[in-house]
Amino acid sequence: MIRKLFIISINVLVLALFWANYKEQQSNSESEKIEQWAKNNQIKVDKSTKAQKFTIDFDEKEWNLLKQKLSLTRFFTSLKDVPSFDFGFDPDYARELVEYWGNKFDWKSQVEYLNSYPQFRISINDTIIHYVHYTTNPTAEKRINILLLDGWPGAFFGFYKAIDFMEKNYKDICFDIVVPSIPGYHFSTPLNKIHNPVETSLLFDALMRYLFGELAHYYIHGEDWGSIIATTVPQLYPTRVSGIHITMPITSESNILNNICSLLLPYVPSLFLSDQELKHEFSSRFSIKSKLWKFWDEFGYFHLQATRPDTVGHGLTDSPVGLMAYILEKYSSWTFERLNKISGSKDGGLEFFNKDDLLTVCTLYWMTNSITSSMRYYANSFNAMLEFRKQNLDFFSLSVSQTVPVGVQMNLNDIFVTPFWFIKSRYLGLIQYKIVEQGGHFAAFQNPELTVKCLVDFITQVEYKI
Amino acid sequence: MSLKNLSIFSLSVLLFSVFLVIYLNQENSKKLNRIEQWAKNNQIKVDKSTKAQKFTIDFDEKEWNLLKQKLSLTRFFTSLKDVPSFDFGFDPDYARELVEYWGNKFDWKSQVEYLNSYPQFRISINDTIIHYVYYTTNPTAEKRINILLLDGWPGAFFGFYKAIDFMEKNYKDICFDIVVPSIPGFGYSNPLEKVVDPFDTTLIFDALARFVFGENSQYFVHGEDWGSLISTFLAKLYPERVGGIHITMPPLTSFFDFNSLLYAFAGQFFPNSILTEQEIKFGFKFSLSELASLIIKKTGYFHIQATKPDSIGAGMSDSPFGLLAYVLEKYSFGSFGLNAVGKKDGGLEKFKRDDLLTIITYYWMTNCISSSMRLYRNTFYTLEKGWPRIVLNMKKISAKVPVAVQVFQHEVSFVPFKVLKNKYLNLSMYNLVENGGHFSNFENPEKISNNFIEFINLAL
Repeated sequence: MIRKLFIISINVLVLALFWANYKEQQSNSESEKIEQWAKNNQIKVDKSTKAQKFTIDFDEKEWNLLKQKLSLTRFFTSLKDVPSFDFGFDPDYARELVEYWGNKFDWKSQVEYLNSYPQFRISINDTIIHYVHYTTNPTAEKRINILLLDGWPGAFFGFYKAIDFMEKNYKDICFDIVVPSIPGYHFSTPLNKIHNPVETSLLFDALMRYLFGELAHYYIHGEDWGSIIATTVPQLYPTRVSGIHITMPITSESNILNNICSLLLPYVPSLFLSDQELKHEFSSRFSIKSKLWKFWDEFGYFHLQATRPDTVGHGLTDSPVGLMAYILEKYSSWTFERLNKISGSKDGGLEFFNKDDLLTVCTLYWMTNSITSSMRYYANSFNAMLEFRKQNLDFFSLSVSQTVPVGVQMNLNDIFVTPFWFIKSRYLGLIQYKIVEQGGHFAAFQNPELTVKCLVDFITQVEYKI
Repeated sequence: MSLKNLSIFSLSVLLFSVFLVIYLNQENSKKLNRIEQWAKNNQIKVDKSTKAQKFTIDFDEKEWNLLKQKLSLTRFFTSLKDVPSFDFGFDPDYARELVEYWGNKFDWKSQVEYLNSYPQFRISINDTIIHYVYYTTNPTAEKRINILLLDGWPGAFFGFYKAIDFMEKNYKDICFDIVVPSIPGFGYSNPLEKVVDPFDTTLIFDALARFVFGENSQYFVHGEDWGSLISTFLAKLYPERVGGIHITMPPLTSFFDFNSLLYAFAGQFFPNSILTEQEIKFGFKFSLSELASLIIKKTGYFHIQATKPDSIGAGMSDSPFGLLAYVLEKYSFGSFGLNAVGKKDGGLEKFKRDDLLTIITYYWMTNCISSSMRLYRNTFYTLEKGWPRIVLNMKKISAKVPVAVQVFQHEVSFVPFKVLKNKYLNLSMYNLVENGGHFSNFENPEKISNNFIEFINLAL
C-alpha cells in the first residue's frame, strides 16, 4: 500500500515539477534564437588559411623514454578475496600488458599504419585541428561528404578499418571523408584554453566549409562526444547537414512527457517499447533505478573529470601504466560489462580486441601528451552547459529539427540504451533505428563493417528519398 | 513560485516519501539495541599469545634513489591560460616547482628520523596487520587517561606528532597513554590483500585498545575524516568502554534520515532558522541545494575511489608526481576550500613544504595509495553483508557516551548543532574554529589538543 502511494506521489510530483518546466520548453522562437546565434558566431575561414600536410614522426627519443618509464613501473597487488576487475583495472593484467608494451610492441610499425591515410593540420580561430582527409573511389559518380567523429578515450585511427571497408564495398560511391580530432585530443594540440562541444561544432563546420566550399553539404557520423557534436551542428546549421548518424543519442531531461514515461516504463513497457526492445530488456535497462545504479558504478571518472581533471591528469601524464589502466578500463567496461565478461576474468574482456590496436590508442595519447587536455573537455563542457542555459541557448536540451534526417545505431553492449520512443521526441527527423546486438561503445573500432553498413544504409535512405 | 523553488519543493517531498518508506521499514529500536549485544558477542578476541613487534622505519636508500630517478624523468603538463590556478585541480606549474624541490632538496633521511621519534609497533589482529604508535606522556603523573587518535584519508599517523608533543609539554599533571593506529591498508598497516571496511576497522581498533590498555579499560577517542566515522562506530558498539569521542567531521551518512531531511528542507527556505548564531557568523549552510552542491562539486574523487580505485591507483603507484598532485590537491581544497582557487600555490605555502612532502613520500614508500583508496570501495562492497553495517549509521549515540564536536571553518562537510543533537544524545561540547580546515591535527595541533583535553576533563 505504502509502495503504491509512494509511486503515485512520485508521478504527481514529477508532473508538477515538469509542468513548471514545460512553460520554459522549446518554442519556435528558441530555435530561431539559436540559428541567429549560429549565424553571428559562424567562423570565417580566412582565404589565406592553409592546411599543412601532416605526417606522424616516429620519435625515437620519446619512444625510448616511454620504454624506460615502463621498465621502472611500480605495481601494486590485487585483492585476493575479490573477483578481478571488481575494483577497477586488474593490477595483474596491467603488469602483463606493460611487459608486452615495453618489450614486444612495435610502435614504429604502428606509426606507419597511422600514416596510411593522408593527414593535415590547420589553425582555425586560433585552434589547431588535426584531421584525416581521404577520398574513396574518386571516379565514382555519387559524391558524399562525411565527417567521422569519435570521443573519449578514442582516437582518429579507430575509423581506419571502417574507411577501408567503405572503399572496398561501395565502389559506386565516392566518400569524401574527414576525420578531425577534437581540440585537445592527440594531434589537435597544444590546447591551453577552454574549449567546449559547441565551439567544436563551430570549428568542425568551418573545417568542412574550408574543404568543400561555403555551400557544402555533409553527413556526420558521431560516437561518444562525436554524437553530441553531431547533434549540435544541425542545431546551428540545419541547412548544411544532410543527415546525422549517431550511436549515443542524448534525450532531453526537460521534456515532460519523456520523463513521466521513463518513470512509467518499467510498469507498462509494451506501451513504449517495440518487440525487439522488449526482447533485449530495454525496460529494465532504461528504468530510472537502473540508470542511477549505472551512473554510480561507471561514472566516477566522469564526475572527477568534470570537476577536477588536472588532479588526476598529472599521474596519467607521467605514468604510462597509469594512462593505460585508466583508458583501457573503459574499453573493457563499455564493451563487455553487459555480457558479464569482466568480473573475475583475467583480461576484462580485452583479449577480444587486437592488443596492438589498444596499445596504439594508449601510445597515441602518451606521445601527444594529450590525456589531461582530453579530460578537461569534460569540465569545460559541464561549465559551458550551465553558461548556455543561463543565456537561454540550451543546446543540450533542445531538439534537432525535423528537416535533418537522423539515424541511430543502438549498440546493446554500450553503457546505456535509449529506446526509439524516447529518441524520437528529441531527434524529430529520426528515420533509421538499428539495434546492434554485438555492438559496444566503440562502435567503429570494434565493429567497422557493421557500423559502416548501418551508416551507408542510412545515407542511402536519405539520398534516395530526396 | 519560481521554478527553482518548485523543483526543490518537489524534490524534498519526493525524498520525504523515500525516507518515510525507509523509516517505516527500518526504524525499529529493538533491532538497533541488539547491536550492542551483537558487538559484545562479536568483539575480536585478542589471543594471549599475540605479541606486538617493535617497529622502526628504515631509510631505504635503494627505494629513495628509485624515487629520485622517477622524479627526474617526470613528464609535465601545461596549465590553462584562461582559467584561475587550482580551478581544474592541482596547478601544473606549482606541481613542477614541488617536484624540483622534492628530487633535489628534500631530505628524506632526516624525515625518517623524525618519523621514528615516537615508539612504533606492529601487530596482527584478525589476520590483519596493524601498525601503531604507542607513547606515554608524563608517566609519573597521577591522572591516567587512555586515548586513541584516529585520522583518515589522505592523512598519516605522524600528523599527530605535534599534538602529542604539545600534550606532553602543556599537561604535565596528566599521563596520557596514546595509541595512534593506521587504518588497514594505510602506510605500514600493510600488506593488506583482503577487503577491510571501516566497520571491520572499528572492531580491530577496539581490540587493539583492549590489548594495549587492558580488557575493561576506558579510553577516549579523537577522530578526523574516516577517524570521525570510526569514532562514532566505537561509541555505538562499545559504550561501556568508550569514555567519550571528540570528532571534527560528523559523518554525513549518520544523518540520512527523516529528521535531518526536515532540517535541510527548512534550511532551504529559512536558512538561519536551523543554525546557531555562531554558525551563521561562520557562513555555514545546511540545505538541500547545499548538499547537492557538495555532492556534485566536491566528491568526484570520492566517487571514483568508491567505484574503481584500482584504475586510478595504477598511475599513482607508478608516478610520484601523480601521487603528489592528487594527494596535495586534497590538502589545498580541504584546508582552504574555494579560497585556494586563484592562488599560485593553492594555499599550500601555509604548510611547511617538508611536512607535506613527508606525507607524500610516506605514501610512496609504503606503496599504499591504492590500498588506502580501496577503503572507499570496501565501504560499499561490504554493504551486501547487511546487518549490522547498514543500520549502524542510523543508531544514535547513547547518553552514556559524551560527544564533542570541533568543526573548523573550511571543513568539507557541515552538520548543524540542532541536527547533531538528535543523534548524539550527550553532545557535551560544540565548538567552531576560525581559519582551519579538514586536516585539523596537522594544521592546528594545539587547538585540537586543548579542546580534546578540555572535553575529557568535562567527561570525567
